[in-house]
Amino acid sequence: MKGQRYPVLQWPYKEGLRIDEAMHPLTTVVTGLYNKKLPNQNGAPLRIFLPWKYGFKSAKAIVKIKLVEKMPTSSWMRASPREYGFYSNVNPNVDHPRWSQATERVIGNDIFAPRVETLMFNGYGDEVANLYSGMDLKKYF
Amino acid sequence: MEKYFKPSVFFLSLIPFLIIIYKIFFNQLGPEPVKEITHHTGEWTLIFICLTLAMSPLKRLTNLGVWIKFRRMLGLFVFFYATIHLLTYVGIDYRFDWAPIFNDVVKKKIYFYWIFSLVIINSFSYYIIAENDEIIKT
Repeated sequence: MKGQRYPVLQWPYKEGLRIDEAMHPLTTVVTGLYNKKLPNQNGAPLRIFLPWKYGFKSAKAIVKIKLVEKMPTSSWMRASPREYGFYSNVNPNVDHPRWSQATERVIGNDIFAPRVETLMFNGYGDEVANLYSGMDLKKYF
Repeated sequence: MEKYFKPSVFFLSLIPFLIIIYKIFFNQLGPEPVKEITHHTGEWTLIFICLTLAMSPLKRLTNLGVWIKFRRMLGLFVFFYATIHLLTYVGIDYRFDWAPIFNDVVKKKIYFYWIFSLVIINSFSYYIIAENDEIIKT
């Protein structure tokens, strides 16, 4: 792929999930988009999607899945461990080092629409918060 | 001929502004319109900074005094686009909600540098407006 000619990340792209996260009913293996076959640019033939990690972890064009004993280092963690952690949950209480993540603009709204508060786990707290009970999500971001 | 130079540069410099106004009114900004306005005005601020700074070297290279005539106007367009850029962030994006803006500027170095440079651009342009042609003789 053209983008892989640039060494912004270590290729091939690597992403990791805990087994209970990967097995969660909300975790989706994507094969289509808007009732059509998934286009190449959106990650055909298989893409993973976890709604409570929106914008993260959605690896495209998956070619290999490995079950490993130790926590793997994802491509983004390797590129910048200060900015990207293993979990990458949507969390308004943890700032990115360079910007706040407390509010967001809703995609598709016009310029007069206000920002909205970002919800913990992107609003899926009832379903997934129990996966992380007792964990300090500021440390494991 | 030469008397048309300055008005031409003025209208050319307005084109990026007209483009963004057109895009706002005809809904051409895509799914993230505020981001588009912020980036457009920010990019053109940087371009006009480069253009402004290029005028003195051009004068020296070409031995033509005409470049200096544009320098102040281009500098004021830096101010113009920087002001729209800042107002987009403060007014449209954050709707004058000062708490998160203040928080970003204090906590994130990158916003500090950004605000700092905008303040510098502002103070320089006031200086240029206030002074008369004496300072552009150099």
